[in-house]
Amino acid sequence: MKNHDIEIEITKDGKVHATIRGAKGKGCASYAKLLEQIVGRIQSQQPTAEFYEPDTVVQIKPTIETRQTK
Amino acid sequence: MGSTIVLVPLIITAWPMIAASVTAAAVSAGFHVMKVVKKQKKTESIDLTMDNMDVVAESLAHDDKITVAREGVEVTFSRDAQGHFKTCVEGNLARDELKKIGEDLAGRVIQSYIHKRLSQELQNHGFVTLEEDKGPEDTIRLTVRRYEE
Repeated sequence: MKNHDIEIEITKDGKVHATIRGAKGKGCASYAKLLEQIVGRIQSQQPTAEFYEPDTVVQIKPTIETRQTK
Repeated sequence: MGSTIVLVPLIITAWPMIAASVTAAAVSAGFHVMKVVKKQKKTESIDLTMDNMDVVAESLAHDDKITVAREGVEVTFSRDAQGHFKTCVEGNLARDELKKIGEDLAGRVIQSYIHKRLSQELQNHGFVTLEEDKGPEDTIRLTVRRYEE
């Protein structure tokens, strides 16, 4: 079993700095996409050496509820 | 390490969701929520609009607003007819000081909302929270983990 960790820092103006650890290739990209869907817009992304290693398979549900309904 | 990302918040949400974040952020910054707002006289006021934040109308009411106060300064958060999230700061202080207070509190509202939403959505996607604490300069630090086969 492999752990995928995300270390998140939310600044006092709401900006999010996230570091994804353990996921590689498309798996890492899936998590980046998920964070983008939750938070808003990616301002910058710095892939590391691990990003280019062989893929980790990650399954992310495509839909996210964004509005509260009564 | 796989990737390091910086994300800018873009919020489109319903009023009750943001109202909860306004209350949480205001209380943590030492404000109290005002139930009855008395109109102050001869005080300076400044309006701020958050470009990255819209509030979705879920009813016909266009006067959704919440006012919080601290040491004679009142901050009113509201949603206008176009759905823009607005912040109005009033008090007997210089405009620059009022602007700073308003921007700081509005930032904390966004921080509170994003924190709640990240925790909720990541949990929905199978992550568990390993660690959560306050970092320097009032940042919120969160570490989540997902176990993969």
